[in-house]
Amino acid sequence: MREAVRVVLEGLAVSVAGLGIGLAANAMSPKGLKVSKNYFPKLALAHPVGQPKATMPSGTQDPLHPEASASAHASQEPQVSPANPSADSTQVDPVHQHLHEIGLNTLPHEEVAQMHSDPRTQVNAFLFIDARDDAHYQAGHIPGAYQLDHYYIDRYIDQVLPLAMNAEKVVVYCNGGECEDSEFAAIELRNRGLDPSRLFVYPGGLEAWRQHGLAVERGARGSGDLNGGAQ
Amino acid sequence: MSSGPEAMSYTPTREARQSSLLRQWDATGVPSLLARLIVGGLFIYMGFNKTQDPVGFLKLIREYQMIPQGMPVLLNVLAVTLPWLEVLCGVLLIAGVAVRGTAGLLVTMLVGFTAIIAVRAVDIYQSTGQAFCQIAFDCGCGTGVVNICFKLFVENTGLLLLSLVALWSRSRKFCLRWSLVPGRRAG
Repeated sequence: MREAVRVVLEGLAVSVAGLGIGLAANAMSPKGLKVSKNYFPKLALAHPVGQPKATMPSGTQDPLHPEASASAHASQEPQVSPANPSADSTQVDPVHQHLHEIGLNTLPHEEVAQMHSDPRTQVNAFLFIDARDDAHYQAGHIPGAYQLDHYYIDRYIDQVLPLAMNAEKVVVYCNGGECEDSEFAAIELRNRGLDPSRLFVYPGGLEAWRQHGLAVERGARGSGDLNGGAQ
Repeated sequence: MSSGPEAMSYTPTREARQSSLLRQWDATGVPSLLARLIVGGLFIYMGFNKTQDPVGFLKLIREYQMIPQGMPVLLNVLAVTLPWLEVLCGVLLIAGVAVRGTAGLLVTMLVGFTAIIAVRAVDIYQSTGQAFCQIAFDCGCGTGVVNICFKLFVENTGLLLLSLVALWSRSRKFCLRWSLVPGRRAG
């Protein structure tokens, strides 16, 4: 028994030492996390007042919310839109549905592509934000998109937030599929005061962008190093 | 128990002399050393991989949904400390410092990790109908996407058995400081 107690105490001592080393290493590392931060935030209000439809200049109606309603609940049955038959469309897509349930607007690929080709994108009236980390961003992003890695948000927010505040529409994306980074980056922007009516998440993400054969920009923003074609 | 210089090495008592072959083999120090090197080396490798991507590890452990939503600090602390704890345990085992305590800690961690990985694999099996031994995912173990059957029944079981060897062993050979308890110096 005495030996067992000794072993347990020894293990606890090692655990405490490991805890201390880990916290110290995290504090000193440029990749360190802020221990007190919630990296997976939720919106304070799931259905904010005045949340609009996810519409485009073309007037395409958001099939999941045909009428903007502050009291809309998740139990409302989503409607299938025949106008958006694309693979990443809003047709009862669980990702779109989830984002709507938590109070975020979404855009299907066709509308995102149309926005990107609009001249207003050149003057950041339509702002594209890539929510991924450096490696993924550098490997390829939507041309002209700004980076906003919400895990290290302090590095980007001072540049991105003023642009977002002045933009007519802000589109946030990540890889697509099960990637949640765009959701959390959008919530960070909302929590910093961005008008929810001007903020959209592109659930299809870069995966959908590439699948539609659109060019991606490699390296830094504005590098001009474009690489097109579907994956 | 012998004392003085004789205590510098493992000296079997009269009872130990009459013990099983396992104890005699353990007395050589070889089984413990092998177990410590293998387990220690793997934990240094796996832990170090995770220290290089704290965000990736944070996302992975979140997927297990073991930490309540309202406790982000606990999740963050786990994400930043667990990899370094693994590295530390690996270093201590290889160096032969606090061997039994470290081995005991690793046994505890391995049992816990194996259980939660198994639970997640069963969830995937039940929700997708996929054959259990075809299930593969990144378990946050520091080795990327792995086949779960291999992970559970080969890798983790093997590491657990080797950790138990280190825990059970009384050999103080090839150790810098077998025990942290003052007065019980290793030879």
